[in-house]
Amino acid sequence: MGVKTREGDLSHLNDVDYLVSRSKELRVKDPDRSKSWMLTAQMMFPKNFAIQYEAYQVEKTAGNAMEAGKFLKHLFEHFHGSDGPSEAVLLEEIHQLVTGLQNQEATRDEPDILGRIFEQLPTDTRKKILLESASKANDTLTYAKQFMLAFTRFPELIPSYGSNFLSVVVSKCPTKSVSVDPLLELLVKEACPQLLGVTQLKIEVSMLDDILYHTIDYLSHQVLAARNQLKDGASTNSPSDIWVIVFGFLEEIGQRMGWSLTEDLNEVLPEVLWQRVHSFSQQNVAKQDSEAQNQLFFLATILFLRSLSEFATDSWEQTLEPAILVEAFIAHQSEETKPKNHPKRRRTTEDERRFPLVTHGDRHLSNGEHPSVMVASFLRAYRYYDLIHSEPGLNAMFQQLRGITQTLASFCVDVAQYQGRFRDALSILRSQPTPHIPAKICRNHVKLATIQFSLGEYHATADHLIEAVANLPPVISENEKPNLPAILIGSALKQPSAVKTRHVHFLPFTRHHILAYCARILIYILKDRALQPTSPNNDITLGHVLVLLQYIFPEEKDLMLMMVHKIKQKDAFSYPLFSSYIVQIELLEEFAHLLGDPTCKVALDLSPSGGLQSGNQSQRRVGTRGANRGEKEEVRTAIVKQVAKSQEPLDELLISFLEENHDSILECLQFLSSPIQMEHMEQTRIVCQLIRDGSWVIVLGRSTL
Amino acid sequence: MSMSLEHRSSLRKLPFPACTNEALKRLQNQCLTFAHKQPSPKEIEVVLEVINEFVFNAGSGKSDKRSTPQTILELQMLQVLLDYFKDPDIDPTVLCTVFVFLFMDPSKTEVMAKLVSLAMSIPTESVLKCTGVWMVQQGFTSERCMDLAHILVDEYILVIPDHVNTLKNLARLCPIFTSNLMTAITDMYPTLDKPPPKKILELFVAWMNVSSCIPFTAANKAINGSLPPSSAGSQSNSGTFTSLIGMARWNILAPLLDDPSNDAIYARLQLALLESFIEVQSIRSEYKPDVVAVKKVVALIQSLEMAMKSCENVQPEAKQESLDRLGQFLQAVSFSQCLSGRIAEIITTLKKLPSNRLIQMYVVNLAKV
Repeated sequence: MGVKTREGDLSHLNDVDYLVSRSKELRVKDPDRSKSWMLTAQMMFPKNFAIQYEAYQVEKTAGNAMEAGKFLKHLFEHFHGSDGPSEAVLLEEIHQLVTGLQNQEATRDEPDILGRIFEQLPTDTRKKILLESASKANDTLTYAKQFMLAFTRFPELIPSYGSNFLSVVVSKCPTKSVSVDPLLELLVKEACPQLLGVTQLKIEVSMLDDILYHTIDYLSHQVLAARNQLKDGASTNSPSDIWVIVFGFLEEIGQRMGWSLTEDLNEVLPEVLWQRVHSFSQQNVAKQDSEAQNQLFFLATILFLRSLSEFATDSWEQTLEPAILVEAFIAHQSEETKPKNHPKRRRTTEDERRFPLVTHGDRHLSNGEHPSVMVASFLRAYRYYDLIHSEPGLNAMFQQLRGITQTLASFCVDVAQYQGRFRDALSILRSQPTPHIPAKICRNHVKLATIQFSLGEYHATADHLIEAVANLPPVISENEKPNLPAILIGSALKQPSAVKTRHVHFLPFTRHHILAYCARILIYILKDRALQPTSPNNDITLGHVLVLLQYIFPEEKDLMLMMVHKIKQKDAFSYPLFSSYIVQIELLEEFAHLLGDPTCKVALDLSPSGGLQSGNQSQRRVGTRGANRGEKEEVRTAIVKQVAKSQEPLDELLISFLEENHDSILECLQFLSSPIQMEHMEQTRIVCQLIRDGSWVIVLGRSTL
Repeated sequence: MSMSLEHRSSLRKLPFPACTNEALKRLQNQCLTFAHKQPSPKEIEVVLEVINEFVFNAGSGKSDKRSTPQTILELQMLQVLLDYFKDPDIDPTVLCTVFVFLFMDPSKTEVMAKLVSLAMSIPTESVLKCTGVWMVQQGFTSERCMDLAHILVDEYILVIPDHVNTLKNLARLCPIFTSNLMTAITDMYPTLDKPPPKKILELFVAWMNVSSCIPFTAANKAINGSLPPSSAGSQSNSGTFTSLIGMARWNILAPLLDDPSNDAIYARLQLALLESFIEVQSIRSEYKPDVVAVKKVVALIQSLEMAMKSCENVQPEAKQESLDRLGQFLQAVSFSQCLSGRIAEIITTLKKLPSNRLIQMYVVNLAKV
């Protein structure tokens, strides 16, 4: 009776379903009998997809990779390519399998059951499955990834399928993308290194050109990305790796093109590469040979981008923002101080005069330290940039490049600054989007300040410097040394040179360095006013310069003494900020000397009340002018009080001074003394350079003119 | 040059086991000449006498060795034989001839079984191969062959511990011996009255898992081509002798037994059997076309019919299970194109069985072809 019930249950089924049901009902309870039914079904209906697929699924579920592999091979060979539902089921299975393989490749995990089934298949079937899956991919990225999977596992497929694959990927790579496109990344990082070295693979020259343009596009993104990666501190893929990869396949392209510049790219030192490119350009510049020009263009551009990328990496220095290229100072070296009978010194060349000295960080060239890596990478990038821009043909090609402007903006500002094209630098900088993050705002103001300074726009210079300090992030760098002697910080801003007329400096983006730079520039632009007794706010300006000089003491000690001397010659001197900001012990001593000096007739008013505004209104309070001994004592007491503050940190003092006296400082620069004010801007620059070149005597002489 | 077999006096001067070794060497040389001309009855007689004296009874007659027990002597003799057969420099065909002469006397079956047991446990491929060839020459249903199988099963396979792990690799090491032994063993347990012991079923499953095609060895073209020419003559009696029908009979009759304890192992053996047909189908050209004779299938169906009649009290499910297994087996035989004979006879015989859907499907399909 039991049989009848069971048969009754299944009697409505057709033969195929009957056999599959018999197998299914036993699957858990009695796997061996279940499998016997499955085998019977397969033998009875060898051309039935449902049964064969079911058999495959049973083995797959049971984890029998070898058995399942046999079934999958059978399925793929007998049912693939037909129309109808079986094809879709089969393609889905293949899709799952290939996706699994991709993940496995990426994660280096142990293969899952599908992966193990795949390994059981004969080589020929494996190849067919990978190619089939790739060619059925819905999007180009999947297409490319799956083809790369096939090429990685079976490099022998490359000669037959590589050419078509490259043309599809190259044509689908986006020509304009804001971020790095994954397809572009795959082309450059995986496809090119793997395919271009296969000599049996034929590739058209135009295709190679396209690949090079895409590579340049990718690399210019990479320069930006390298910065961001560094900033995030999560650099998964060392930026230098990409250059090894790119140089690797660039050699292959060079071989295919018959180029000479691409030999042994990964072995040759950057300096030697530059020599190679440079002499190649000199040999070929006049020839109008478009093939040579192409070669030069691609190589120079890619090498330029590498130098730029190294520069970007080097300039970051674990700070929030990269080092800033600023205008710095030259200390004039007179003939006497120069070493005599210097054997190598010939006539100074034009180039040596034309281009500024470049330094970085706290390095002093005179100390015989090695030139900074950052300076070297900057200069290398500059040379390639200059080479490209000085050849009209190359320049025209370079301008055609997509997406390179964004990469170059910041570098172009530096180049213009380096070349002394300050107006250009300013206009590029102003064309950039306004930053919103404090660190970037701060950096932008320093940059604007240094360019305005070079242009002689001192009012704007001071304004930007004070804004920069106002936006100074509280913690900038992990390696900021909190109690570094101020004398060390920023002293490299002034370098001795007998030849150079200018000095540009990569200022590390730390609080100390920025403050040190601000102080020096403000001293520089205020001291003229301070030393002109006729200028309206002379006392205030003098006082401000003294406050600033404390920060860099004992640098410019002579200037400080000269300022004190200037006060001594005055009838009266009023600086209401004295008790707030003058704390430096030696300066306080100088003031004490003034009081004690019988030849000194100056009446000092150093009391805080009345403030700056009233001070400007010449509504002075009684100080030491014609004063009795009691009033003098009061000033002396005030000075002694200040001595107690002399140990306070100068950083905070400088910041609060700049922030609270923003308007006052700008006012000091408002009324330029007539000779300079009248002069044309270009003339101002010449004067400025003269001043920077010369000693203080020259400055004094200039101001008394 | 070695002395001929006639000079027995020179052999008698040698102590045991040197005399046995020397006798085997001379026997081997004699067999080489038999490759070119048929041995005369007289020559055979001499050979057998020498074997008797210097192999099987060596040492027993020596007065100074009286103290040595007979069993120890026999063990030493078996060791000498085993070492002799291990010599890789001797031509396998000659070895087979030596083996045939050694055990030509029917009284030697028991000592042969001891040698084969030793060769199965150590394992010694050359001895097993010679045994396999010998079994073919004797014929599987011959009394001596059955005797050998009985002794191997009862006194060795069923007795030793962990028999599966000890013996399963024989299927790979020496397929011709293993498959011939399987055939002989299936003949030992032909009916419901005497089902095979569980240990035998386990061993069969293990052998088929190690080498799926093992029951088809006798039909393998390459293996048969490589057999010594002396065995070729007796190949062509009636179709191919395999264990396939025998195993199928076990599986099909098993549900009718009043003993469910071996159900799982029968199910596994049935699966292994179906898998072996599928495996053979995928490399069909390596095997002879006529593997399973229709008349044997007919006999199988008839034995099921008889068994069902004799077990009226068996549950209908059990009968259906028997019929399902028969249907599965028939489908496997047809699928792998192993049948030889008039297929219509099968259909006629099947009609006498109780109704079963799978068998109906099989018949319908068969009619289409």
